[in-house]
Amino acid sequence: MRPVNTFIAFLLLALTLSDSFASIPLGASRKSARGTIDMYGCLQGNEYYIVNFAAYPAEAAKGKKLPVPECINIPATGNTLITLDLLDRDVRHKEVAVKVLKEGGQLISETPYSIAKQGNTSIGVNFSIAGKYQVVLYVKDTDFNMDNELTALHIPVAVAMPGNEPAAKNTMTGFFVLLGLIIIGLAFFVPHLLRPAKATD
Amino acid sequence: MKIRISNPFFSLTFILAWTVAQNAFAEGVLIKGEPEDKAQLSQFDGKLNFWFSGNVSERDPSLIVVNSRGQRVDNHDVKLDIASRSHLRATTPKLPPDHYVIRYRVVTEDGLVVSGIRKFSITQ
Repeated sequence: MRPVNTFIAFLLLALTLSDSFASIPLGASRKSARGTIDMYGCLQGNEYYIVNFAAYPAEAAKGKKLPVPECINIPATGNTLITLDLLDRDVRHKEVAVKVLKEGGQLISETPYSIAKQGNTSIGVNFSIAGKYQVVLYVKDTDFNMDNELTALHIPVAVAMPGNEPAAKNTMTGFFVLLGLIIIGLAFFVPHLLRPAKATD
Repeated sequence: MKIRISNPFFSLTFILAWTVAQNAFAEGVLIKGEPEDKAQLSQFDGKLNFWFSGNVSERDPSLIVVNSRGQRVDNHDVKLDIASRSHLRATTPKLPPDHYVIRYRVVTEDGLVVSGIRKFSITQ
């Protein structure tokens, strides 16, 4: 019966662990608007649509490590790839377009209307001057039949602005490392604890 | 090859597989919505109600209604009550016969978005 008892013990242990961590999103590692890493990443939304915003400065992409996407506070000027993850499933089947505007409304980059079959849309921008910009998502919503300008999602972006705080350390990495060590430790020690004591003469 | 249950590698694999499986089912789910999708109503009390399961957060809830002319007709009064069955609600003024579209949205504590569209009609 020893293997059965051991199996039941591990089953209960796994259930306990899973209930404790059922809300952890595996792989989430995006900066928020505050520069910290949290569960929500860089969610940007209005009453109609919501997206996950990610900015990849070209300089950061040159390194060997995978670049951590920036949120709406981009630390430096220069060429930047902006990606919007379309989190509303119905929007992934509708035509969308993206515009990047300077603070005064001057258009500096735009994409044509197209259906984002992969669920995200990207635009390359050269932020040549530090300052405030707007990234605007337009949706041709065939369900709503509303003016695109009324439903457009305006995302304020600050580029190389003084006072942009540096990103906090990625606490999520440390958390998952700790979680892994706990699981490994339990996997090695629990079987020894459940092993029946040797009979002594 | 016999696999001993007390084998650390086996137990580690089991625990990790179970944890991943649990995470896959952690997101919020729409349980019920009023009015129902594609409902044809002779009377509408102006109340919109949506219930969600799972770990719904207070972040970015949305519930809006638009008529067939592309005009928003709800009262801009969306409220979200967090509970084991979270309740998203809003109201509209008395609406004339027409076709209407509802867009609802909640965000779970995991950062996952639960959103969708429903259509209903008020008949004469």
